[in-house]
Amino acid sequence: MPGVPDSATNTTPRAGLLSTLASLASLIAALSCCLPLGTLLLSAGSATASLLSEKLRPWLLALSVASLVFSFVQTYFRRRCDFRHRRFRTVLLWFSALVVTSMLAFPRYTSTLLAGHLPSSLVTGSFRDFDERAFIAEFNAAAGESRLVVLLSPT
Amino acid sequence: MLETDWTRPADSITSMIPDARASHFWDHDRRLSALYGGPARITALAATQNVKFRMKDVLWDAALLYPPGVRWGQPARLLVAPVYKDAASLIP
Repeated sequence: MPGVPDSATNTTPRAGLLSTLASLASLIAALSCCLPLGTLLLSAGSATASLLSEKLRPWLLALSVASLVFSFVQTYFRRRCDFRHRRFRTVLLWFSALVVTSMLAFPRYTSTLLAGHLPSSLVTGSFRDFDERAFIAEFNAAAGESRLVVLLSPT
Repeated sequence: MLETDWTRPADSITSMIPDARASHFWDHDRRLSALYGGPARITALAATQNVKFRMKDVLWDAALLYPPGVRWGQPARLLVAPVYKDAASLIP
């Protein structure tokens, strides 16, 4: 269990922030052409919320993609906005699409980059459900070394 | 640890401790804190403590350093909280 803990990098707040900005950009872009507010709010929250939950992630990302598709259809096939608004919305939509696509295709790499680290510093691993017996057994099995027990909240 | 930890975060967006010997647990029910006896027993958990905030009902944002030879149930050498303020002091 030795290692250098870093509660500041336990999650990647910058990734969440950028995803939120992307969603907000999409929201502003769509609002500029008066799209239905309920759909937009779903779009704004889903990408960011997908970072927080493994269980809900596929559903929330699907919702994000659906919202993006909806926005693209509105932009390119239903040209209701005047040109000035459409141009503003197009830029924001493509920015949103870039961020959401990179989060979908390369979530760990994107998160690592957004956290300010190079992908070469990427650390693989996964959570295990806490089991008291297994934890204590591992703790005692490493009794010949120094050990570090760190309790952190991901939020 | 906190009420906002309502579900396990996605592995794909979680940075892990960069050491192959590290184990990462998701402790939704705060069982490790309970094993330690919670914040009420914090003074008994380590010989030296550097705790800079008050924990209410759960032990969190804390690190305990155990020297070689210590087994589970014995006090740690050092306890720090929050972790990021004293991370350097945890390197044996």
